[in-house]
Amino acid sequence: MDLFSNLALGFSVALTLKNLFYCFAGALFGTLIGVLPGIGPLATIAMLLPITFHLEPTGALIMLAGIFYGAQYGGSTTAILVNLPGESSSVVTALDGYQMARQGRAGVALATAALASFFAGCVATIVIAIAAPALSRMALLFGPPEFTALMVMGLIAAVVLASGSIVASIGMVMVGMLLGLIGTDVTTGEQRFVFGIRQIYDGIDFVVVAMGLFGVAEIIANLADRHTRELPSGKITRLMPTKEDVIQAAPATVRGTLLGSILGVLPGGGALVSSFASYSLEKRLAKDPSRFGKGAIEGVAGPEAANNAGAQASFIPMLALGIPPNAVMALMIAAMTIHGITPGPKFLTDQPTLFWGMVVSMWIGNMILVILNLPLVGIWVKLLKIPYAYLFPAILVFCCVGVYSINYRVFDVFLMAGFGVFGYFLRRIGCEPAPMVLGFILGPMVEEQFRRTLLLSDGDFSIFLTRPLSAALIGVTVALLLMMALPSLRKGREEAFREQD
Amino acid sequence: MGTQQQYLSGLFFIAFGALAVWAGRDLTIGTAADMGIGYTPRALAIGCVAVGCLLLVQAFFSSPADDEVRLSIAWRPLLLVTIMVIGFAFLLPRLGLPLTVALMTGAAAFSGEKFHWPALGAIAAGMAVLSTLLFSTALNLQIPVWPF
Repeated sequence: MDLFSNLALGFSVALTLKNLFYCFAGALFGTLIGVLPGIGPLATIAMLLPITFHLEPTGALIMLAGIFYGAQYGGSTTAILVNLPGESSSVVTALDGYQMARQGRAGVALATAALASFFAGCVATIVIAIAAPALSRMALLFGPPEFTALMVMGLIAAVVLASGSIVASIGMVMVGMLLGLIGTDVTTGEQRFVFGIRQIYDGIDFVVVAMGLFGVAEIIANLADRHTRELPSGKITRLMPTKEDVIQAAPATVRGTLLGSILGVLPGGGALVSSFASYSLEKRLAKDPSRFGKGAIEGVAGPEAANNAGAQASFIPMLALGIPPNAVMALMIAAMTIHGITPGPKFLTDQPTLFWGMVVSMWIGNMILVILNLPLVGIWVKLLKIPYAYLFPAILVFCCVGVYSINYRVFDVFLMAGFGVFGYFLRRIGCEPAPMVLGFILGPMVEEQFRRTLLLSDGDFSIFLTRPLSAALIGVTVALLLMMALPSLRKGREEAFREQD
Repeated sequence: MGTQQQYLSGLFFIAFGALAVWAGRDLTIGTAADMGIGYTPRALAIGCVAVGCLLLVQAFFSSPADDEVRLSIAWRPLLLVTIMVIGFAFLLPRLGLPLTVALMTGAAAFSGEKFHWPALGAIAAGMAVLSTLLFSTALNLQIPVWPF
């Protein structure tokens, strides 16, 4: 079996002492920062990037993946203990998890989240191992028109599946793409939008943008928003779920995992959509839906499994096609580029040790998280009790040092301050920064493929519709947009996101 | 999105698109078959303006909800955090990492959050030492440590 020999190769890479250590350290630091209130996975990864700089690519990649799960998991811990989801994908976890915590069942909620995530992680790892090579073989059939259509579909899907105004989000994608085009054009070598500033001749660094929008802007918003912060109360006594809990949680976990594995692969999908979908599914299937929002254990197990499976499955299009399905994966691409790795169809065949080592380390990382988190819950609780006045300067220091150390120049730190202010204003006028970040990384890629397509067709736009694969992708994109124009469906989408309030 | 937000975001997109058209006025547009570097930016900029206009139209035809809160900007955190980040960039090459970090942490006193001076002082000192040990000693990042 090809799969088994590949996995064996992966184990031989991931189980070296050095790589095990990187995986462990990544998961630990990821959780440590991810637990801090108001910091989502994106900001966590951006902040911790510098600790991977001096590693060789395999170790760095394994550590990054570890940071990613740690951050994801830390977010759920915060959601359950203090009702303050670090990012939108743990919003649903907070609904029932926090209620469980208030009923004195915080330990059970945390253990359920950990075990459900672990199960989902195991399944999603296998899904990646099977789907990523298949997808990258398929990608060999793709030409420029297909890549263009696929990326446009991904951008539109990301807009439709995110909360907030669709029109404004499409605008944000275009703003992001324009910002992404700043610098020297790859095809002609000419410069655009550089305004004579030497430091941006190579374009604006993605990490600077992400850190400004999700780190600095987030801190400003948290400081402004004083009233929401609650402190975890009481001691966590019992961790292990009862037999009854397991009977209720297990089927929800399996359903959540399946949902997440499917939704995570879709462009625009990932953790967020998966957890929302799982929550509404569980609520619909429950005998007594009124229990939801009052501490139903399925409401923790299902979405937690779904968001972990979704988060991990979104690695598939990123690794196999080099196209990030969401903002977090866009950051992972940027991080990989720093280490000289370009994800895409050739990545799997050219660097099998790197790819399979990473896949296996994902599974190990998930296991480390369970072992790490259940005994360390007490420490996370203490961390959440630190007053924000002491916490936010430390977070800012990490952001500043992180950005400074990419190129060792203070210009990037100034630029980050600018993006922080920009991000805060955008949030105030109701524009979500996530679609913009995705547009930023996809902008230059879309332009390059779009240009090649029309060069091939000699300026004839109908090439997108005469090639079957690209026509199908365009069809899906148009269908997505039309769906949103229908009043009834738009209402359904608004209701699905209403759970947030 | 509230009505006020629709107006403001509409204006933002129009302004951003217009700025992009102006900034890219000298870039070669070319044709679809032979695109210049100004082709995609111009298309995106026009798209931005279109989105902005659409939002303004939406805002014009929607009535504000009764409970709609007026837009407010939290000036104090906005200014403080911005000054802290800019301060870091300005001071790092001059004072080195530990002093910069200590000053930055101390600036948290102006955040309006509850704090105690002895604790903040201790944290500022601790952060200065720890960040230097972590970033400079352990991770070996090339960051200035000493003043000048």
